[in-house]
Amino acid sequence: MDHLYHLNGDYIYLRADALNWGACTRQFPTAIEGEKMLTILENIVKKNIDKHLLIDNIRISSFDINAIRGLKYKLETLSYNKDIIFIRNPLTNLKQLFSEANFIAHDSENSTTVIANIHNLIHEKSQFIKIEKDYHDFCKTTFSKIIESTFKYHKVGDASHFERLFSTPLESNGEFDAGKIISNPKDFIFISLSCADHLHEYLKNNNLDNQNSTKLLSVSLRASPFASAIANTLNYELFTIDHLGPNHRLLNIDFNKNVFYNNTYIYIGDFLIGGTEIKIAQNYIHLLNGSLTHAFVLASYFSNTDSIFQKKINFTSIISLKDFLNFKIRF
Amino acid sequence: MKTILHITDLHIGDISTKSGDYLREDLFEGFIKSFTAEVLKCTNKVDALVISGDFIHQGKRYFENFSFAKKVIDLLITELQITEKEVGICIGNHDIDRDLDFAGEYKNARIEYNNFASPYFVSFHEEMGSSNDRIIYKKISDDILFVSLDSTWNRLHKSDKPGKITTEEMNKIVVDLNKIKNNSNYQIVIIASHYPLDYIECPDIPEDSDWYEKHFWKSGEHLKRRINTILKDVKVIWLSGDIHQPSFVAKENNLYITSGRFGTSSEIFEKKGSDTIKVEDISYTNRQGTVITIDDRHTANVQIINQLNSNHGYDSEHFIWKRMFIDDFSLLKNQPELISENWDKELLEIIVLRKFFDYEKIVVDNFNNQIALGWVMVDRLLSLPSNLFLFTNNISKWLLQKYGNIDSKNNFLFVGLDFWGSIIASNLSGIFNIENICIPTKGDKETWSKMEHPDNDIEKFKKYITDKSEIILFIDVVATGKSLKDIIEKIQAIDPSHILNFSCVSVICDIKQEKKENLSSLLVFFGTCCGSFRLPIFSKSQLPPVELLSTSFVTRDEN
Repeated sequence: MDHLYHLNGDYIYLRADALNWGACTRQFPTAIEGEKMLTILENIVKKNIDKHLLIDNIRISSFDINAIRGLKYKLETLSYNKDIIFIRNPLTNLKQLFSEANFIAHDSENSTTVIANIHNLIHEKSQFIKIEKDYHDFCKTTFSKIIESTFKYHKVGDASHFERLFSTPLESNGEFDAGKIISNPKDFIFISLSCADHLHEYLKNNNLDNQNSTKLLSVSLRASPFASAIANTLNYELFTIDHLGPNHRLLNIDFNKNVFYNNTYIYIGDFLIGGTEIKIAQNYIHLLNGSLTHAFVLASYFSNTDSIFQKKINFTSIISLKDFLNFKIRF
Repeated sequence: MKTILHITDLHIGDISTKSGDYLREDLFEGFIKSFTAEVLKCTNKVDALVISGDFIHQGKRYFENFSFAKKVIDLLITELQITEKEVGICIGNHDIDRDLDFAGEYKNARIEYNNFASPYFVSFHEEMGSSNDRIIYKKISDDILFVSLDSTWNRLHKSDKPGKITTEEMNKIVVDLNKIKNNSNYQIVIIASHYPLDYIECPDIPEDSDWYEKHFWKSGEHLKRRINTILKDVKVIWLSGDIHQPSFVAKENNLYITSGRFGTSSEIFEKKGSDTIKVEDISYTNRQGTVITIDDRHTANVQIINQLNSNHGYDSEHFIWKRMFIDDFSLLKNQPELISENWDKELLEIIVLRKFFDYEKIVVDNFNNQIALGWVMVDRLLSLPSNLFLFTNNISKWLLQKYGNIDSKNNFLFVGLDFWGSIIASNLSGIFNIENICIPTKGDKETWSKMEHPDNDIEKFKKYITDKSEIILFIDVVATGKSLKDIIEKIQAIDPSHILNFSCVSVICDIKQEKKENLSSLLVFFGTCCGSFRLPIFSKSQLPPVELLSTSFVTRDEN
């Protein structure tokens, strides 16, 4: 279960939705339940008995009280002498839930932070704020590191060798390979869930967070695992067109034309440079009376307002590829 | 065509005229001759006679009866017109000195049996793998290998339960079998163990809570799985006894047969103090033997020969045997097994009710001579997160059932084929912490970017498979199996010297459609979520000229 959490200093960082994934209990993506989840949690703590456990509870609205009781009991039998911190908790009955299990709660500025009162080593408000900040900084850095690790020069060790990028007028000295993230379950879970957080905020801010009218769309092989993981986490329906890019032939594409009628689609992609794939997808969807005006990608070189996109699509990405100094492109 | 005769559980005890058994001095000749006469009505020639243990009854109490057991086998050999070379035997729990065995003196406990068994293992050859206390390999003919397993060895629990086999033993067996396989041309491997493995399908299993523990060779299950990965392109016949009831199960290229008893009296007696008391009346179970005939079409015809009369009379006039046809079992591995039978029905209902199919659309391409008549919208079946969850959940249970706990195993690699295969594989990789790659099957390398297609960057894909041995492929639809076969060959060709074991899980594969590519030699396990949806296949040569077809027929020209 090492792929479900990260270690940083004195802390085990664990997302509740990653736990749900690993325990194969994602049928209800906003609920944590079941013995299997508890067993995984117990094993993680056992393996890192000298660390505090920080659980990021984002979007988990239901937490089985028996699971909490079971966790507390198991931690006691393990002589666990650290605290458990729950952050980003939307649970309304949290205080009651935890007070029954001898936990205390504390409201920080942005979300509810709850400390398991086992040894109460953390009790100052300033400590909570630092813990939260450290966690978010860690996530940001880890995301960048993983993206950076997927970069490969076209010619090994040669930063000055440029090749044309498929279906674009641009040349680059290397490429980012999302397949590398997909191959590593730990990175894949972390990146997918971080993307789900980002897209969730984006959809909310653009009034697109209605699961009935908004659908997610994937048109490339390496983006489809991310799109599916995001769709599962946020509970959106996912559609695919197999496949649009970067090379495609019109007659090769397999899709069911009827489903696109009158739906609003959010394009989910991996790395965005020239945007050819988005433009083709947009034309297909419009041709079939659907609407594709928004896109989300892991990382992009240009920004939403750059002229290359001619304001035809609104898109968002978590990081900019311009931040990676090794990566160069030219017209 | 090859014929194997299997008998088991002779339990030779009291051989005097007072005995209630036919395997006694004054009756055994008539008993055996009438039996073999019936066997030879099924076949002209027996290629192998296998006896899976319990030659004598109650261990050292009847050790002297091993010489009588030899007489019985000699008569069988004469009547069947075979030699000792064609006889394969294994040890049963009654053939052991129980006291020595429970004291941990395993070798000494088997001295009497080994003396009795030695004539049947004279054709053992060193180059066929090193035999040991657990296993003996015997060449029966150029195309039949016999493997004798001692399922009683290492009874650490000191009770009448099957023995425990260690990982080291299993590793050695797998290495030896691989060596044998590579240096020979066996088409059939017969594996005999007294205790059966957990595949039994018979109606009269008692409800005792520990019955399974006493009679099933639990740790042999792991061995079976590992042997299956080695012997995937030959027919494997597993023969066992002990439970005195018949069971017949065929799975892929494996046939599992447990025969009922061949000997014993119709009543079982046990010594209690100075008295001998009747503890069980078993006259209701027939004495029997099983005849297995394997033809060149990979079909195993199974018949049992039952003795019909009970023990009344005790004379040769009462030796009445009757043949009973059981079934023709296909030993081809082309058809997948259902991940879950109930779920298969539910999926078929969903596909039909929600019209996730199209029988007015066919796909023609220049790479395939076979064409699937029909089209399933797999994307519609999987697009809702709750549906996808059901797929990953059911598939993960099936994988656990097939492989045991594979969590974080470094020698496994998941390969997602095309969009939905990749989506399923990546979801499962998050559950099992197994490395995962996505590969397209459609189109040629020009259709895909440098990083997407194995043909475009072999070195990159080679890195993923170097330390792997088990590859599990996930694919949406298997119709003709050509894409699957091609991709397996392509992955194997990345490093031909590094042999990989492939298994496959598909969302849809019509289990009744027989025009599939020969996948039997390629896959260790093959499962499908929905096997009941019909996807007929016809040959491209049967198609009228494409220009005459209506526009609903889609032409894919990928050249």
